[in-house]
Amino acid sequence: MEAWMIIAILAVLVIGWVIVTYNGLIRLRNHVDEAWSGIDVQLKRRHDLIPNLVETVKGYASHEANVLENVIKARSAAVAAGDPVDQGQAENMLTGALGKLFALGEAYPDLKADANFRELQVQLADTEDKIQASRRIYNGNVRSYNTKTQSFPANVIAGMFNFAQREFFEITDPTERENVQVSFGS
Amino acid sequence: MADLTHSQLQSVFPDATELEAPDSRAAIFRAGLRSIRTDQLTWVLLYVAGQVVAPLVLMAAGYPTAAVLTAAALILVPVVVIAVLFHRATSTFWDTYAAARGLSHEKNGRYTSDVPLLRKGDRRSFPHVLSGTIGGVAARLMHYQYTETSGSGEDQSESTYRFTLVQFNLPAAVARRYVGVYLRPKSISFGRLQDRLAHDRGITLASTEFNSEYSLRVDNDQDDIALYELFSTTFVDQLIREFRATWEQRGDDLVVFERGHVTDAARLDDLCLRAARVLQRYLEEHQ
Repeated sequence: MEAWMIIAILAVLVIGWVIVTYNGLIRLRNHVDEAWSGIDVQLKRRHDLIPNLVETVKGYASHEANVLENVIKARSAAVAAGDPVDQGQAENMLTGALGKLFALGEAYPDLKADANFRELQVQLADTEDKIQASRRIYNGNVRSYNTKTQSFPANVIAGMFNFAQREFFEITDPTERENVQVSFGS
Repeated sequence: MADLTHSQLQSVFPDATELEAPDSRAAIFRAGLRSIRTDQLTWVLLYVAGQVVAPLVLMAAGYPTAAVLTAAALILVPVVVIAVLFHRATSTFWDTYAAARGLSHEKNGRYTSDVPLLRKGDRRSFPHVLSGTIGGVAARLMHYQYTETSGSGEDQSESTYRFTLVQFNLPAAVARRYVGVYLRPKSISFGRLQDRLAHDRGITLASTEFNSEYSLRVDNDQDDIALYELFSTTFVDQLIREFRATWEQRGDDLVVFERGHVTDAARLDDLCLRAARVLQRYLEEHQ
C-alpha cells in the first residue's frame, strides 16, 4: 500500500474520532443544560410561592418583621443569583430563612391552623422534593460531562473547542437540615 | 435488596394471610433432603451397597450387559430421588407463597399479550401463574419463558430465555394516553431491525445516568407530552436511585419484568413492590 493511502486512512480515522468525540461532548453538555432548566423551573416555582407565604404570615405575626425581612431578602438574592454555585448558596440561605418562618407557626397557633399557611407549606415541601430530584439528576450529568472533558483523549477536543467545566449545584436537603431554634424572648 | 416492611407488604398484597416471607424453593429443597430419616438412609445405603456389588458379581458371572444396566440404575436412582424432591419443593414453594400472599396458583397457565417480550421466540410458556390482587388491582405474577430455534437439521439449536413478570391491566383512560412504552435494561437489545419493524423509536431523557442504565423506547404513535409527564424528574430520580424497574406497556397491558425465574419469596415481594410503584406512577398521571 502506498504511503499516501495510509496517511489518507489515518486522516479519515482521526477526523471521524474528532467528530464522534465532539458530538458526544455536545450531547453531554446539552444534557447538563437541560437538567439545569429543570432545576430553574422548580426554583422559580419556589420563589413564586414565597410572597403569598409572607403575606399570610404577616396577617398573624406582623411584628416578626425581622424574620419576614430575612425571607424577602433571601428570596431576592436567590432570584438574582447567576451560576449554580451562587444559586446554591442563595437557596441555602433562603431555606434557612424559611425554616425560621415556618417555626413561627409553633408560636402562633392561629397561623399554624390557617389553611392557606398549611397549603403553602405542603406546596413548598413538594417543590423542595422536586428540586432535590432535579439537583441529583443535574449533578449526575455534570459528573459525566466533567469526567469526559477531563479524560484523555477527549480532553484534547474539549480544550480545542472550549468545553469548560461545569459547577455542581449544592443545596441543603430540607429533610436533613437541623430543627431551627427560635427564641421569642424580649 | 432490603426486606419489605409489613406495611409495604400489606399495601402490595392486601389479601395476604401471612406477612412473614415464606421459605425460598432452595430452602424447602434443603429441608426435604434433611428430612430423610435414618432408617430410610439405612435402606438407601444397603441399596447402594447392593448396586455396587451386583455389577461386580454379574461381570464375574459373564453377564456384562446386565452389569452395565445395574451400574446405570445405581446412578439413576439418586437422580430420580433428587428430581422428585426438587419438583416437590417447587410445588410447595409456589403453593405456600401464593397462600401467604392471598393469590391463587396455577401451573402451566396461558396468557396472551401484545407487549413485545411476550411475543418473542418460537415457543412461549408460563410454568407458574399466580393471580390475585397486587398493588390494589387485579394482577398476575408469572414465570415466563420463550424458546428460540435457530439453524436446521443437525445444526438446529434452541435457546431458552426466562423471565419473572408482574402483569396489570391499566384502566382504559390511562391506556389511551400511553400507546406503547418499553423501558428495558440497557443490556437487552432487541435489535435495530426488530425495533424498526415494531414501529418504535428510542427516547433519550435529560439524565445521563438514566440513559446509561436503561433503554427507553416508545411506539411511534406515542404522545411525547404524556411520556415526559410519566417520566417526571422525580420518577426518573427514583428509577436511578431508589428502585430498578423494567417494563413493557402496550395499551392496557403493563408487564413489569426481571430476568430469570425468581424462586425466593423476598425477591418476589420486592419485584411486586417495584411493579406496584410503576403502576402507581401510571395511575397518578391519570388522576
